[in-house]
Amino acid sequence: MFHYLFKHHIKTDEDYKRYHLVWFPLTIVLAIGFVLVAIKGSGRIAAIYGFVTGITIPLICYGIWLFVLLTNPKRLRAARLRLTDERRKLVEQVMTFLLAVALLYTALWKPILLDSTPLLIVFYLIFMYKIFRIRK
Amino acid sequence: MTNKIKAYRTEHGISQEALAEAMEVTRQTIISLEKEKYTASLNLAYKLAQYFNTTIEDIFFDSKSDKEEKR
Repeated sequence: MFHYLFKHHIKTDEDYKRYHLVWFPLTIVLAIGFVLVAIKGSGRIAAIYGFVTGITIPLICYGIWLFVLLTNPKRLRAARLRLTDERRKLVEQVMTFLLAVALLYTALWKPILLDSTPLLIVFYLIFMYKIFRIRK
Repeated sequence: MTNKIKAYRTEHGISQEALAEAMEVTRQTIISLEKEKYTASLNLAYKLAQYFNTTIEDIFFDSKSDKEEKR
């Protein structure tokens, strides 16, 4: 079972399916565990309620996405190729390095504060581009 | 590093999508390879050579050393 925790073990579509079938329940267990620890530790129900709402919606979306993926072999294969693609791995490594540098900078010097407006614009532009590409 | 992937692909009459599927990579990777923006790993280079029934050296070559050899 633990073999499928790491994505470098994914070689076939079946491996990818198992990878998600391990990670989905694990994510739910981790989220429930975090909530239980938070309730026992702080007792601030309002903050915990906010966390539960915040985590439930992405989990439901993840579940729906996974259902669609597991019932459609073509989508499953495309998603598997996206995850295991060697060029993407390289991009991921660069992004992880940049994130580590940003975290280190924040921890050692001062926090990096970003204005939300340009980020929102970039987000909407990416979203529009995705829709444009799907329609094409 | 220069490559002849596009030439081989058109010669075999296959699309980027089909080649990507056969190589188990995304189409974006094939595009990047053809535009020479990305250099394939040894594993992918080997797979490509096998797919086109040729050698790695025939598909991938160093354009600089090629020019030096011509001199």
